[in-house]
Amino acid sequence: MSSYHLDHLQYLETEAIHVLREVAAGFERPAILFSGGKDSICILRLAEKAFRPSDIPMPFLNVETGHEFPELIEFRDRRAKQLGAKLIVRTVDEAFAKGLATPTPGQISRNQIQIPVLLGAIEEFRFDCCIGGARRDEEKARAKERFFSFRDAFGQWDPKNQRPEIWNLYNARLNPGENMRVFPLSNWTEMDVWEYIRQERLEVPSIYFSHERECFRRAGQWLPVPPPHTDATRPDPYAGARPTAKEPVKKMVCRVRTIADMISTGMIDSPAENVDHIIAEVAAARVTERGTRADDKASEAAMEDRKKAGYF
Amino acid sequence: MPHSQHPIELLRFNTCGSVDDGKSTLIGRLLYDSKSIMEDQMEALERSADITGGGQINLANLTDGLRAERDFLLHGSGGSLVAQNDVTRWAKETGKPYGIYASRCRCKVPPPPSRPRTHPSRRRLRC
Repeated sequence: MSSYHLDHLQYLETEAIHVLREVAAGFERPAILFSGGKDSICILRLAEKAFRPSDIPMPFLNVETGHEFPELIEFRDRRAKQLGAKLIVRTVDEAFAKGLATPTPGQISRNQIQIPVLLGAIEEFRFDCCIGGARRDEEKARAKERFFSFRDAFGQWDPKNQRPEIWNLYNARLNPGENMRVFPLSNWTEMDVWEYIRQERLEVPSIYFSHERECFRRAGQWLPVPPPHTDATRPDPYAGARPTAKEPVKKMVCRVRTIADMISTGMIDSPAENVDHIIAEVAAARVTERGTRADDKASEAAMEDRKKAGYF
Repeated sequence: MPHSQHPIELLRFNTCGSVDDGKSTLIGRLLYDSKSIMEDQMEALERSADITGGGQINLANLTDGLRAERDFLLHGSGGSLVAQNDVTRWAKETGKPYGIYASRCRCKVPPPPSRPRTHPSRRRLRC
């Protein structure tokens, strides 16, 4: 006989499905930001469940920096095709070509430049809502976000100008030109995400599991050695992210805990081969998930500043 | 896929109090005592101790992460200030006073021992 009692994972799943259905009801042109990472994979599964038996009624959007792990890109394309969804990809290189953004001299990471590309894509397709897999336990600026996070006509986040969310009532009213970001996974923790992946038997990119890779040490982290530069017609996109003579290169068994791109992701030394091992490792972790992200360490309020400029 | 043997419930609790009562600091202390703070979060607290705590680690910084909340020196109290806007806007728009300041936290607890539940169709009507 079934019980009326929901355990915590079921409760979180129900809450997220409710949020997704509220988005479908309240917005005209929503989109799902799908990067291929573990949070977006959970969002896809939740969207499948929320809209079953029809297809997911929203396109997927991904903003690429050009420095992604090739395994991630391959996984993303395959998964979008499996679901029969429309995948919209906008890259930073295209933005350079169109003149939407200019590369900052001296800065290798293109994380900041993703902001104008995202805002440009939102304007191009006139999306009024973007669903992302951000969670409150990831970072302190994300901890202050509501489920429905309002962005003004310039795409900026103002933490003092958000709407109250009483119980499960969400305010989806927008003026033309304004945008909303929705985070159905707000109350999930890293452990919840992995347990959900185990429970639903979801496929994740292979870089989350331990594999052999050449890494070099920089700023207290092991960074992956980027693929060799073979295209002589273009300048090396990984210039500055290659190991110098002083930095030791080592072939090690490692995996990623959180995926940014090849330049800003720290690899961790770990033998975890499947989801059960990963869960055991996360349970015993002493460092937060995003501790290995170089883009968060740029300054004390790095995430808050990026959100105020329009980051998701 | 069988559900876990020991289902965990979610417990949400809020702290309420007036300005500078110590709401955020209480939550920070609870997290510290329950050993829920990770090493890099502790390091970040130590780094911000000089600016916002007068040399001592300020546990309120665990929940008050935004710049506006940490700008003690200019404005005064942290989290309550950010709520101030909501309060004045509410008072202007509705004319009623708004009196609750709060911050919230979420943790997992094991459920209380279950009592046997009867299916609704079997429950007798109490007249």
